[in-house]
Amino acid sequence: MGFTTLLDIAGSMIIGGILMMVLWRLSDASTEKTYNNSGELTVQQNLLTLAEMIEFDFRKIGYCNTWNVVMDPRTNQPFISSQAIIYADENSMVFYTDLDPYDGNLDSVRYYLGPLSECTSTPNPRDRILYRVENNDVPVASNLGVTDFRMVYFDVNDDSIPYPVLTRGLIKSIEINLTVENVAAYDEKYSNAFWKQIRLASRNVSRSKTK
Amino acid sequence: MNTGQSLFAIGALLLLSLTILRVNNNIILTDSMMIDSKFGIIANSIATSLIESATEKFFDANTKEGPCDISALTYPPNKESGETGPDNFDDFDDFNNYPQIDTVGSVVFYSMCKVSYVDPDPDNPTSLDNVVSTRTWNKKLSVSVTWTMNDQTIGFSADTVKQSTIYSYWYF
Repeated sequence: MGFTTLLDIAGSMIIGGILMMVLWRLSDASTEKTYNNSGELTVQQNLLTLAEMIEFDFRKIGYCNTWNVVMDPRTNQPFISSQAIIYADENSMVFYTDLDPYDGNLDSVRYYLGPLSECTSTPNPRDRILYRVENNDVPVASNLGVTDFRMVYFDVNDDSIPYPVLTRGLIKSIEINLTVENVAAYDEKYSNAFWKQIRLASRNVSRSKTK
Repeated sequence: MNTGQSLFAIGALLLLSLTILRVNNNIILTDSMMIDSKFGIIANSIATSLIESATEKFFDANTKEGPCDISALTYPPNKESGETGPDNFDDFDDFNNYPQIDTVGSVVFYSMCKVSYVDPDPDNPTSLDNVVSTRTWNKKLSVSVTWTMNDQTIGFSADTVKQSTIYSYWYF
């Protein structure tokens, strides 16, 4: 075997090695992108599911099918829809509404964000569970990768109200910030998507401004 | 290596390079579409927020103190002097031709609002899309949101999200 042949073999091995590295990198990038893109899709779907649910519920704050005959359980006085929010702080809110089957009985709904310690089994260190509780039922939740659920409350003059809001009838509109991330990601590169509802005012809450 | 082998090798490398470029292009395209879709969600939240902000105002500048005659409604829909933005807007049609710019990271969202009178006809659903040039008790707000990035990438499409709502005046 001559020197030229050996050079050919050595050259082929080097070029072959480079090609193998390129193909390996391409395969790795392709796998990463496939994983990340499906994760991104899941994140966006989760975010929209939550945004739809929250908007549907929050828009109906104070709604009651038979509002004129229902008594407010707190006061035993006729129900006043503008005073339907029972409790509100940065990560939770409790309010009265009339849920399906819209039978005219007041239902309470509570939204709150669970602690970080609940999701230690997922690789993402920031995900938390967003709970929804109807009346005194068992809290309903699934881990959709919520990392931020924060609300800001405004009065009739569009001034923000400090937490917790306990005064009935003070809140007229709500800013909702919702961020969702992957619960697991390739190489810990978590993608996120967020929804910021700058103002959400329930149709049943009075909107008259003070002078 | 003879000339034939060299040509085969060059041809093979060319094909591989083209394949890799194509794969990279596809990856970047998919990334751009995913990012675009994410911005679409934000654009929707901006449009919804503008609609919410508008529907918490009075129906008309002349219905602030109570009902008025239909001939007293503002026509054409427009803001009054001194009103510059949602913070000091007091009625729904102040949003007509109101532009808003929001920046999220390196993305700029441009919103434009249009308010017009509509005359809903239960027998004609398309009447909700028809602007009328007379005063009615129904106003329609249409919000368009589009966005641009500082560094536009391959496949990035400047889309426009459009939402609308109809605000009616009722008096009991």
